[in-house]
Amino acid sequence: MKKQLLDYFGYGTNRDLEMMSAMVGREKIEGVKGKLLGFELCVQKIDDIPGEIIGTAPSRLSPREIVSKAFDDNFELYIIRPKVNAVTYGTIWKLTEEEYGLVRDWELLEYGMQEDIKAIAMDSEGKIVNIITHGSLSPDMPADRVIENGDYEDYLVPKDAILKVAARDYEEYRRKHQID
Amino acid sequence: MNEWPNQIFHNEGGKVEIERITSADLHPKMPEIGGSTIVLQRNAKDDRRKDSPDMGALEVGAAEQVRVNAKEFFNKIFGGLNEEERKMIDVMVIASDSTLSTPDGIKNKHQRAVETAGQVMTGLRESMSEFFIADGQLLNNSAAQNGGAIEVSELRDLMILEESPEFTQFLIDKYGTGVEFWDAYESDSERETRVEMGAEGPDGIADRVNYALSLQAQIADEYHKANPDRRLIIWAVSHYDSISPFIKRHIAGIDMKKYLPVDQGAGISIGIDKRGKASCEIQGKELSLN
Repeated sequence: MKKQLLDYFGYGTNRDLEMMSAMVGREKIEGVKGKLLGFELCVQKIDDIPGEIIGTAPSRLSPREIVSKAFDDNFELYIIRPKVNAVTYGTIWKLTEEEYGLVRDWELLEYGMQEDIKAIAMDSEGKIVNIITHGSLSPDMPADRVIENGDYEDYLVPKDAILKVAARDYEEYRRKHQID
Repeated sequence: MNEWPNQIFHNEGGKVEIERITSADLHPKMPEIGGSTIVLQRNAKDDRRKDSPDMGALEVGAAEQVRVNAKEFFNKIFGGLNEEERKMIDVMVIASDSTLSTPDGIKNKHQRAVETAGQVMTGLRESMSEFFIADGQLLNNSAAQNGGAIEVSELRDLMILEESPEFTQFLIDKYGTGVEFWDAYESDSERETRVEMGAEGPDGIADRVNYALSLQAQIADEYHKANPDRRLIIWAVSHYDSISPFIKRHIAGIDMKKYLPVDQGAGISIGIDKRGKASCEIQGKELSLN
């Protein structure tokens, strides 16, 4: 039976096919350019990332600790927060539920680094799409800076390094969840 | 405390005496060409019997009433247009993605706003069929999985149950999980503790709903730019806990501590003209909202 596909809105590094492929383990992923309405794209530095350990965390670690260990204290990440009249540019990818599980794992949702968001995006032809993504629903979420336009750098840290970590995490996730 | 910038809906015209929001306030307001109508509706009554296998599902009679009311609403809209004009109107139905969660620990997968929106769409589709409106004019058919309700997170009900367990527990310890819990939360009688614990309060919910509707206005504006010369209706289903504070703070301008009932399945209609000017009619009073 054909798996039902979700419309996942990837922004920041996740709008790039190579990053998505490393994260979900599939080379060809259907995607179209799109814009997410009512959310602004921000960059967080390590001190902006939550340092608390939350109840749903699979291990006694905060998002900040995990990110510090995997990269270093110069790490930066893209994240969205709500703001009327703001637009975040990205890619609307077709993913399976399992693949979105891999994205959630990578973005440390169970650790409270971000949360699931269901929202409305528009593709390049003006078609409305109900998407799922992740970010913050708090307009007060701390951030170092806001990205205004669509011509931002996809990668905030060296591309090779992040792709390597993503591929390693993908293998670990597969082993842990016994995915063939 | 969350600060929500750029909210666009606020009645500056002074206090409006409103005792209750009923389904009569869901006016079928015809949008002008290039304009939009946003309906904000409370979910229909759901089954809360503790021993019921359908706990959290909409009650059958309540669901049926939503369908009937929605069909009547759209019959009036489509009936007010001629054959050519009917080809130039689109509808989008959105709903809060909340699942059932209560202070006494009940959690299940039922989504009363999404299920209410499903009934709205049943009534809408019946009306579309009678007036020969093309399937593509219900934007959900292409935007959402299986043509269902478009789910959005910003129309959720109480966020404290999920996001502020410390404050929720504080209220439970002091007031229990019944009506006193809700009274204390709604009247913000523990404001100092709430702010200290960083939990969302009624003012914050009102502003969040304003953000949600302002965002719909932004989406409508983008939609009209990409699809000129059309009319748009956005039907949004949310919850009592979110709609009542919004109306108190931004529409009626009344004391946030005052109880403002919103009947299940009831709501309001906001018109936005092609210049972005918003208005709302409640109980015979026409209010300017920006």
